Order: sequence, then C-alpha cells, then structure tokens
Amino acid sequence: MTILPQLERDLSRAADERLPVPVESEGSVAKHENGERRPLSSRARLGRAVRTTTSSLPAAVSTLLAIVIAVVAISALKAGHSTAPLTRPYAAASPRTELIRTLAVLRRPQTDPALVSQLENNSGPFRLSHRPAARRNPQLLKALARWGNPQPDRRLLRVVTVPSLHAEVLIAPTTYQPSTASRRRSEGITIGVHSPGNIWTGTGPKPTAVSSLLAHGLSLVFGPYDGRDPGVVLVPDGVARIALGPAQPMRFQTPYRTTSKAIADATATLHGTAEVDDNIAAFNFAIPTIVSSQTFSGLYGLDATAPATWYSASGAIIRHTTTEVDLLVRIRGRASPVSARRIALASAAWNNIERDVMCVACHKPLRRANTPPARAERAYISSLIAKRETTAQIENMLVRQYGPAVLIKNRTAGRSSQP
Amino acid sequence: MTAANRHEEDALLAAARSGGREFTAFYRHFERPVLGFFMNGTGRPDLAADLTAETFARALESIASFDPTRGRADQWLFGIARNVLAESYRRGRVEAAARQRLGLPRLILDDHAAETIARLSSDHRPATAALASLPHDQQQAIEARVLHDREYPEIAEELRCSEALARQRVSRGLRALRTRLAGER
Repeated sequence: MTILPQLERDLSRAADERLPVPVESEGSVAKHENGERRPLSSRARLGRAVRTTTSSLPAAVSTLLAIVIAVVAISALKAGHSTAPLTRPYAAASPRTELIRTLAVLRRPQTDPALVSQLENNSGPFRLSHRPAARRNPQLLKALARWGNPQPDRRLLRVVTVPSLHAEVLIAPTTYQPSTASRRRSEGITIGVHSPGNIWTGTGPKPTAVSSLLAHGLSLVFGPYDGRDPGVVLVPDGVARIALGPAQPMRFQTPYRTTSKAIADATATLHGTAEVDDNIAAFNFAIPTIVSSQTFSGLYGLDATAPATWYSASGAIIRHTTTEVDLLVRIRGRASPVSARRIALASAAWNNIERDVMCVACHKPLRRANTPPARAERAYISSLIAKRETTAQIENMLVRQYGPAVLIKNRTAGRSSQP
Repeated sequence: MTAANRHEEDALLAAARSGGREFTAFYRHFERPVLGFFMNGTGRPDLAADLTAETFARALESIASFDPTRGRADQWLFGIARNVLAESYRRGRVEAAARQRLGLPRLILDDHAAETIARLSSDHRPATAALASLPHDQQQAIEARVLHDREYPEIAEELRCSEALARQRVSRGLRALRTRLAGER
C-alpha cells in the first residue's frame, strides 16, 4: 500500500513510455488470433518448452547431452584464464548496449574503413590521445591532462554524410576517464563534424549519457560556414522529424555593451524543421545580426536552448523537449575606429575580470549571477574599467570593497570537503 | 541494513530499468524512506510529497546511466534526493524540472496521506533528540551543513561567524552526537 498512489500511477506510466522494452527472443513471442505478436508469459513459455521436449524425447535427450558436454568443455578450457564470475550480478543492459538499442545508425555496418587511421593521424575530436608525438611535448601533455582521456569504441564508429551541409558527422560511442590513471569511467556518445575546409568540431571531451540523448538529443552547431550557422542534432530511433526553436540564450550572457533583450530578440528568429536521416537532423540557421553603436563588430558564440518537438513518421508528437545549442550572433558595431579599439581593450579587461570574480551574495561566478549585489558589482567594475584601471588594480579595489571572498581564487584555495 | 537487503535493493533498481511495473516496485520499496527524508528536511508533508515526486522523476530520467559498480541503489537514490533538497533550498522553491520534462501532473495530497507522511518524521528518534540537546549554535550549524547540505561560507554568513568557527561548530557538534548516541546503545 503506497502513500501516494497518484504518483505511483504517474511514474508507472512515464516509465512505460520511457524505458526500453526488453528485447524478446523469437521463441518467446506468440502470434495472437488477430495476427499481432505479443510476448509470452513465463508460464506459457515453460509449457511450450515441456511440450516440445516431450514430443521428441530421444532427440531432446541427445541435444541436452551435447549441450552439457559443450558447457563442460568450455568451462575446462576457460579455467585458469578468467576469474570473472559465471553469472552477472545484474541483468540490466550496459550503457553501450543501451546506445546500440537507441541508435539504428550503430546497428548498421561501418561505412568508412579508413576512419580509424584518420582519427589517429588527423585533428579529429579524439586528437592527441594516441599520438606519440603529443606525449613528448610538455605543453600538449598539459593540454591532454585537462582534456582527459576519451576513448572511442572503434568498432562502433559510424559516419553519416549530410549532403545539404556538405559535412560528415562522426558518431562515436565513447568511454571517458578524467585521466589514464583514474578508475572513474563514464560512458555515452560523442559526435564530431567534419565540415568543408577540413575543419573538425566535436562535442565532449565528456560523452553525453544515453538518458540525456533519449531526453534531449545531442546537438552540435559548427558554423560559421558560407555566412550561415549549420548544425546537426542526433536523436533516438523513431524520431522522423524535428521542429527546433525559437532559440533563447542562456541567462546573463551578453557581449560587451549589448543588451540581453537585443540578443534574445535576435536568437528568437532562429527556428526550423528538419527531417531525420540516420538519426541525424540537419539545420542551417541564418546568423542573426544586431546593430549597436556602443560596441565593435564581430561574431559572438552564445550558449542557448531551443525548445524541440520530435515527430514520428506518422506525424504524431513523440516528445516536447529542450535542446542545448551553441549559436552565433553577428554584431555590427558603429563605433569609430579609435573608440572601437578602446572598447576592444575594455571588453578584454571585462572578460578577464568577470572570469575571476564571484557574486558576494549567491557565491556564483559573476558571469552566471544576477542578484542585485552582482549587478552592483558589475556596475562598479564597469566604472573602474572606464577609468582605465588595470586588471590587478581592479581586483585589489574589489577586494577592498567586498572582501577577499569576491575573488574565485581566494574562495577555492584551501577549501575542504570535511565537515 | 543487511547485505541481503542491499542486494535486494540493487536487484530492484537493476530490474526497474526494464519497464513501468518494475519501476513501480522500486518506487514502492523506497517511497517511505524518501518521504521520511524530505519530511525531516522540510517539516511539511506537502513539500515532502512534491520533492519525493521530483526525486523519483529524476531517478527515472537517469536510471539508464546508473552504474551498479560505482555504488549502491539506496546511495544513488538518496544522492539524488539530497541534490533535490539542496537545490530547492538554494533557489527558494520546490524543484519540478524533471516532473515537467516527464509530463507528470501536479500531485494532489489528501488529508490522510498528509498525516501518514507527517508521521514519517523522525522527531521522536534518538538522533533528533540528541541533536536537540546540543547547544543552539552547534544545532544550527549541523542542521545547515548536514541536513540542508549548504556551503560553509553561506552558513558562516547566516550565523554571523567566521567560516572556521562554523566548521568547528559542525565538527564538535557531530563528535558530541556520536558520543551521545554511542552511550545510548
């Protein structure tokens, strides 16, 4: 007897919609009178096995004997080679198996046999990991340490060509370790795009989990190309069409001296519909342009989210979800060359400082904070930048004004997880 | 908890990946402990019910990625519950993102269910009694750190003391709790 029967019912329904149905073997599926195939109950399966066995007893005995001999022989051969238990403690599928069940593209043969060597020798998304030259370069080693150790499953690498974008999408089930010595592992999927001009872009280094793929899909926007911002979304089986957008920037990201409303208005124009082929939907967004007299021209990358609706082949809605996308915004500045240079310097100073400073009220990095004290801190920093103070001077003044906790480096030093 | 119980819970979680009926069994097994956890954390049955719903919704979303080699089923589920509680405290509202993503309707709680949940509170349990017997400042620090999972700088700001002193209060309070509970046994 549960306390919240309504919740139990709702969860059961959601689980039925969401969780994969276990794959039944051929022998465990019955054909009903109306021709529909349904799974047999365990009792029916047992009954069928007994009937089959008793109807041809001598053949069954000899088959059973052969199976026993084979099992004994295999056990004898394996003894001394493996210490693994005979039975797995859990019947649940591994994340890799879940991925194969989720993406039909992984269940077809590999399309590009030269892909593995290309990955190892060129600058693909798993670059550096296996290159001996990288191991001898201290700077690259440092970069490698930050990058972690993503290991693609070579047998499951697949390439999908997207003619409309002139690009190839690499789909790679990947295991990730923070370092080669680490025992922590996470499994999931990584995608990379090989776009014109031999440019590789990829997600990662940490792979996206299967649950996230099932819930949101996995997107990769890789512009600019030909004045546009192309991108792909990887979706699970059953999705035939996606409607994406309008996109909304994540909070509190505005290039220097632009307003969040201007950015939101610009990205809101980005939406479209795409058919899914080989689990991939391709989009080709126009890059929105903002005209501002306060800043200088440039292309800016923004983290954004876009509501997405997934449709089946029959046109039925499968899911309403939200997909994370990286977008480009073009800003056409009207500042004079002299002031543009000054603004560029101020923008660089702003980026440096905003990275190092915390909100003293909510203790989040300032670039993610939007409390009244955070806004006051921003205004104070802007006034100091306008006075052409250096980054070090500004940090000193901030410490004097708000205390040492305002700087991230002061907060993280000497922190302990002990109570 | 015995090893057999743990194994049973792990098996429940492993089975819960395969469909609605199995997930329901998993939910039934953990419903009361999770409701009790939130009842202790919030003191309100309606909030406890909402947070429980959010916890199981998140569990359903991430069950495919659960790796049994990295921890037990109860640790995994209560890890989610702690995060839900901590996020709700931090944002000042009951988290409902996972429920919305799964399309779960709003929970309607009747009086009987609310009373049953209220009885799951551990107000009369030895640990709670021992906590109540501690000095007020240690009590506040332990509640903020252990029950509400808040950061030390935040606790220090609220208690108007230094971060080091907040740590000291938690540490001494926990030591006193351990000593008292060991004495009762």
